[in-house]
Amino acid sequence: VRQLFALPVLLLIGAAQTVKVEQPSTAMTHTIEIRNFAFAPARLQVAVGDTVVWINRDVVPHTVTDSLARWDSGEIGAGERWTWVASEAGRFSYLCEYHPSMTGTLEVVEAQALPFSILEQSQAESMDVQQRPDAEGSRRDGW
Amino acid sequence: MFRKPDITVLTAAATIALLAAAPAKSQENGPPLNDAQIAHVAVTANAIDIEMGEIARTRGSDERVREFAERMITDHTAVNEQAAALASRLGVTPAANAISGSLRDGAEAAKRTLRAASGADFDRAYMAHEVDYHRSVLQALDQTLIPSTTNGELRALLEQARGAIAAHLAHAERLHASLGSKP
Repeated sequence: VRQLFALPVLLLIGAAQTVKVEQPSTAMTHTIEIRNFAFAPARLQVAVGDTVVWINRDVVPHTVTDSLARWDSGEIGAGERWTWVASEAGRFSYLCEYHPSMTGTLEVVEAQALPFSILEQSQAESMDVQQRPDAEGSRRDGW
Repeated sequence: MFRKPDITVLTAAATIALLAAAPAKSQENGPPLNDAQIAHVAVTANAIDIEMGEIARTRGSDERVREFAERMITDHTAVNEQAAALASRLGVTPAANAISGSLRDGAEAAKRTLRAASGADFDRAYMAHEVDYHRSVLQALDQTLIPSTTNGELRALLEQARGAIAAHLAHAERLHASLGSKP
């Protein structure tokens, strides 16, 4: 009888674990292209916990350097990329140290601060990205 | 005291005048430039700024000027390598022409003047040259070279070079202004 009783309990535990694993993460990956000596998009709003990837599409090296020197990519060679995780909220102006006229701005906000419609759209884009291995991520630009 | 290095600026201006006058000269003196000739002008313009950078990275007295010179060498070398790869792929040999020849003559004169300057005078003369040179190349790209190019890949290359030139010009203007005027 104990064995018969234990089986459904184990099944329930297993089901609970499965549900937990399949919970989607709200953290997203955003891509900023460095192309033709400009950051595109030049302004981007992301949530705390999101990942931002800069990809250098130019034939020359660039950097992604925080204007207040809080972080710095170092040299990003032609065709290379650099990844940064938004760990705290704030407004971050950055530039290419090699070409100071190249500037960009990141606004990092708490996830719940994002407008619902934008978050919903971004999550849909993120799911779409996961289905396309060649895609780099989704964006929320021009806030 | 006699002040002489402004000759460099005058030489740079003469070089630039030749480049900026490229469309008029080609229309008055002969047929418009073809793609092979445009490629040669672009490659020559890049090569000249690499050579100027080679001088400035050793003779510059201000660290920022030397770093700028290194950046010019890196960037213009990368653009010219891309141009060489494109020409090879297209089976096109860049063709020397009157405009690239004039550019070369002007550059040699500018280099002689730069080599005669030193210290802060050199820094100011080099950066003044870089401002004028990039401004004129940008103008030539916009008004002549890009609109006249028929091959799509060459046009794309020139448009990418334009981004580099515009970024260099902004950087050069800022750095030149920070050096101040002659005491």
